[in-house]
Amino acid sequence: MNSEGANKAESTQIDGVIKLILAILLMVMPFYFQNAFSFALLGFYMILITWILRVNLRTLMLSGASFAIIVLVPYLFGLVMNAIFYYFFKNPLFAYQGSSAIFLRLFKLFVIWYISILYFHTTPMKTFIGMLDRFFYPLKRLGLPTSDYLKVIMCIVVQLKETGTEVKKSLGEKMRAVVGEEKRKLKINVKGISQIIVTLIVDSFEKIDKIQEYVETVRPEDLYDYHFKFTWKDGVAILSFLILVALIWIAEKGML
Amino acid sequence: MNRNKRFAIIIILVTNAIIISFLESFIPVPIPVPGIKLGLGNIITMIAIAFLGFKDVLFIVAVRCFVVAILTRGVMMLAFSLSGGILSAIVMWALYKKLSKYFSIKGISIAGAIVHNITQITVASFLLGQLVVLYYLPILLVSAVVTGLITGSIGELAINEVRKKNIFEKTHHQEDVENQVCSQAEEARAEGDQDEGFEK
Repeated sequence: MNSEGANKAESTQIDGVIKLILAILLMVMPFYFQNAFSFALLGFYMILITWILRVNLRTLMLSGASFAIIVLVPYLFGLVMNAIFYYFFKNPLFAYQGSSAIFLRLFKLFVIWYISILYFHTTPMKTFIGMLDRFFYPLKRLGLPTSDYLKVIMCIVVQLKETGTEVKKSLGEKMRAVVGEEKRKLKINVKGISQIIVTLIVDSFEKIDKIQEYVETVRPEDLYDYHFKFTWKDGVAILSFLILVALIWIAEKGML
Repeated sequence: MNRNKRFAIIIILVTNAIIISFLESFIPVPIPVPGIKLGLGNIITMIAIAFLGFKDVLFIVAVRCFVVAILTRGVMMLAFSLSGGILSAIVMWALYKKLSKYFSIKGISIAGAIVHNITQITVASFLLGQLVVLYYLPILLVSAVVTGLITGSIGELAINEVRKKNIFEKTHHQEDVENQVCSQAEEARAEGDQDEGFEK
């Protein structure tokens, strides 16, 4: 949902809610698959929509790396440890417990992650928050200040867009100066890094009145908005999804 | 505290937390283990614990996780970061507010890092339905002590500096002054009305 993603989303112009429903259906679908061919069809469909939505490959790779580090690395490490323990102790407790079911589960988790990345990188933040505002309407009626919280989220995004890149660049330079090309002792770094962070915090609090004024004056409608809009692109998206469902249904029946 | 001022503080802290997280790439991690991060964003959580209320701390952690997940990592990562972030914030808050006699900021940060890693690996194990994932826990715990110590050291210095510079006190003080000015103006207006009444 970065600016690049937002621009691309504007070019694709699929309605946020329709896209969300299709995304949720795609995430849930693999949990009902019985046939391996259905997974292949879904995989092909995901590649196709990635190409159509023109999502940056680097973004996908970075997000994929975090998924792999948190989920895959501990799992593979656990499998290796199990194998080592089994080799030394021959205890059936440490026997290989992996099965195709686990890999299918990994694939299902991967589908959830991948579809959510595709969704968020092609939907502008203001549209998504606007949808959440509509979704939380019953809570708003009950007196919960949901709009205020959503406004805070959007203000953070605005702040990040306005100052984030500039601050990141200058802090990066300061950080390089503190850490240096040669790896110094961490003790020196800790002091230097804390100074940079404190300076950042102190400097940012100098803008508190400006930010407070902005929070007071800005209206939620200026920050986020959602209106349902059905275009031919939504029709094509739904049609392609229905074709996929039909093909999967045929595959599940063993007719493919 | 004025609601909008509270929101402004939260906006500043969350924005800083996200920016600080990006700085991690410039710092060499002493233990190069996959999945190990310094967690510099945690410094902001510690600052929030030291100077703000419990609800604000939870809100800051939740919003930070939400914004980062949506902007970069997707919904799957939200489950990991939110569960780990919220639980570690609760533990750190309890240690800071109730047991600060026994725990330094560094100790609290280490405890927070340990809770964060345990929660994340438990969520991963739950999602995969596999206990073998828990073999990774000892590695995560050892690294949590190291990264927690580093983050805690930076956090301690940062909290002391923020305290020295009176940033939060200033905002409270500014507000007190504003309130005082407003009440004085109201009093003056009321007196003026009274005088007018007498004149009439």
